Amino acid sequence: MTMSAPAERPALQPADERQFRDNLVTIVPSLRSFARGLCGNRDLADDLAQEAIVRAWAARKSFEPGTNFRAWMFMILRNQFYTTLRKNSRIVDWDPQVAERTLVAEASQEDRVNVQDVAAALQKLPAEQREVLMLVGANGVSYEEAAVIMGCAVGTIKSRLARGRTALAALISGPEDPPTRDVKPNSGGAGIQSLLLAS
Amino acid sequence: MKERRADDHEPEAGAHPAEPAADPISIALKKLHETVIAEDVPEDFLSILAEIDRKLDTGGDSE
Repeated sequence: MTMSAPAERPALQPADERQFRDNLVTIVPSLRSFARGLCGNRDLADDLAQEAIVRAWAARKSFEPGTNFRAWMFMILRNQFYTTLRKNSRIVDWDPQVAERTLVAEASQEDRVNVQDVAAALQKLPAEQREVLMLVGANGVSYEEAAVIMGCAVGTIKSRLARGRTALAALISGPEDPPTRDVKPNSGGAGIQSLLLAS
Repeated sequence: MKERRADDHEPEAGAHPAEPAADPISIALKKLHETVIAEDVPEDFLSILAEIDRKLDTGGDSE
């Protein structure tokens, strides 16, 4: 999968564009899920997913038909997430105090884990662990596909996943609840329609 | 328009299978995912897709 410059590729045929559009429709729920896991905030996550769709449509000529569309879309969304993270100081990636507590916490798993507890704990992890947990653990993405999406080695995916699982389990079973981080909706989502119109 | 599911993705050739949902953390992560998947797609998404449809129908976005 590559994202070469559109100018290097011939224009998509109408049938390919229809297929691309259908692929976009199909991927929306998974995009929303991945974004929600990354952000922990429904509005911000949906803004990210919408922006990823708009950007993907604008860059559709750089997608090679027959390659992994899901991975390509997740890459776009992930890039958008980190761009937003850098620009928006209201979004804090992770809390060092939580990380310290995680390192000393005893990792144990109960027979049943509350989904909301997992959702909350997920947001206290570093983004790199959060995204691999959402990709592999939640979305069922393979190690190899996750490595492509995150731009790292398969071994790195496995180690991040292992660390993420341990940290998540430790946070869930920890003795006290660390402070909640300040994550607010992205106010920049209003420009999505105009981006589309400009594509 | 109702939600669309995206569960039809085949693993890449030669790829290892995804994580088995055997432990409580994996099960909870899957449930988290399924909760979002089960939601109706918000109107904002449908508007974007409708705009794409309009461009496709009119050829207004082709180069």
